Amino acid sequence: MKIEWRRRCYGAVTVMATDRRAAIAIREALSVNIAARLSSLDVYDEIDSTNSALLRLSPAQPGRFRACLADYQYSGRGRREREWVAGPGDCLCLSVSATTDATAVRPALSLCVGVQVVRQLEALGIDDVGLKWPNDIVHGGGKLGGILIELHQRGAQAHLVVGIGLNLGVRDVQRQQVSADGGLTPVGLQEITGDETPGREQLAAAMITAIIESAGLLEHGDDRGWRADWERFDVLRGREVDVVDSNGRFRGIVETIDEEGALLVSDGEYKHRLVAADVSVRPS
Amino acid sequence: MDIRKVKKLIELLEESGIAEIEITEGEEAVRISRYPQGNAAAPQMLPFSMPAPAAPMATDAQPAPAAATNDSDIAASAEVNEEQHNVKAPMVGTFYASPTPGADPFVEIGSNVSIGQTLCIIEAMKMMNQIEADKSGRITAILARNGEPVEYAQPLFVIE
Repeated sequence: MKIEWRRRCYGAVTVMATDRRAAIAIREALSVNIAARLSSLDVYDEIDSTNSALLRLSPAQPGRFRACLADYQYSGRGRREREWVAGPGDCLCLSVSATTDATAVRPALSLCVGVQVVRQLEALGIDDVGLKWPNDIVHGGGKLGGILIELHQRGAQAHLVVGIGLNLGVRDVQRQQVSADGGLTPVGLQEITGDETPGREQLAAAMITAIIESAGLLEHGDDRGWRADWERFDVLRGREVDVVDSNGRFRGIVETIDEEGALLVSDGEYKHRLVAADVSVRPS
Repeated sequence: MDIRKVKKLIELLEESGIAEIEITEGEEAVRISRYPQGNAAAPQMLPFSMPAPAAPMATDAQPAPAAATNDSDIAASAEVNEEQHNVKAPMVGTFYASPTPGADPFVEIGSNVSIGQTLCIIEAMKMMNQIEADKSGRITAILARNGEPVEYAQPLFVIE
């Protein structure tokens, strides 16, 4: 595995990437199996966005992965280019990319990554973390993290990039900004675990593992590996929700997900199958 | 099929001059006609089990022009010549014509595109699938509307 630490230039300022020791510590925290599948690990102290950084690199060989980590993203992105708001060091920003057979990629990967992330957090002793369809990572009604998957597809091959933003600490200004946007209130890992918060490198290794294992599960069509845990982590089941999608707006009760990971919501008369994610589902 | 989609199809039919549309999605099919069955004024009925047409909405009652010229024409103009190159949706999801809401679209009718150029984004479950051109040429038709759902294998663009 190659570990790179680079200088990044923008304007007249040159920013040195994070201490090389961070990258080595992450590698050491990975299992031998996962480390063997990683072909590069770039650690920056700041970058535009870790997803964009990986998309600029040539894709890894099939079956291998690249990872990128940053202390701060000055142009972090959420869904539909929504700004991902976090100050330096407030968030673990991490992305993993892979080359894959385009026909093998299913949207359920989005849910599967969420399940694997929560499992990894559990293994680190962080309990009561749940998932809000499709993959918001939540704790006590607040948003602990988000996942954004980008797929660049050309013919039979696809360049897949999975990005995770995990809140470590949340500043008041960030809380206000997100609330004003109508988003879920952010919650930081440090608020949940206090002095017991795992180290940054340990968390990064856990998130890299979550993504690589998700890709492996879907590659082999192994849905049993995560569906049972989806039921365990799902915070929407049985809840009354407001739904907004391209067909309009309605209120209903969340039933479950179907085989493809679509959310089934009953409005009392009809059962709606929600696939397209310009859907806003929130407890009402 | 989502009941709201059926309602939208009915609205579409009412807004247009089309007499009848039939949509097939997997094993489900719905046909909506302005005329009751058996009415002498009705156009010839299509067999209900007919396989999905190449275009998402095709009608033999009123042939549409080959290329859409404005947004309201898009859905009704999906007559696709098999010899043209179609870029199809690889998955079910929401079609986005631009990288961000309010931004310029990736391509427009008449745009010249090269292989690898992004044409649109399809989103499903927070997976953003950037669809790239797999053929160089000129965009002669855009067969989906921004923000609307698209089905698997639905033609999105025609490149000549």
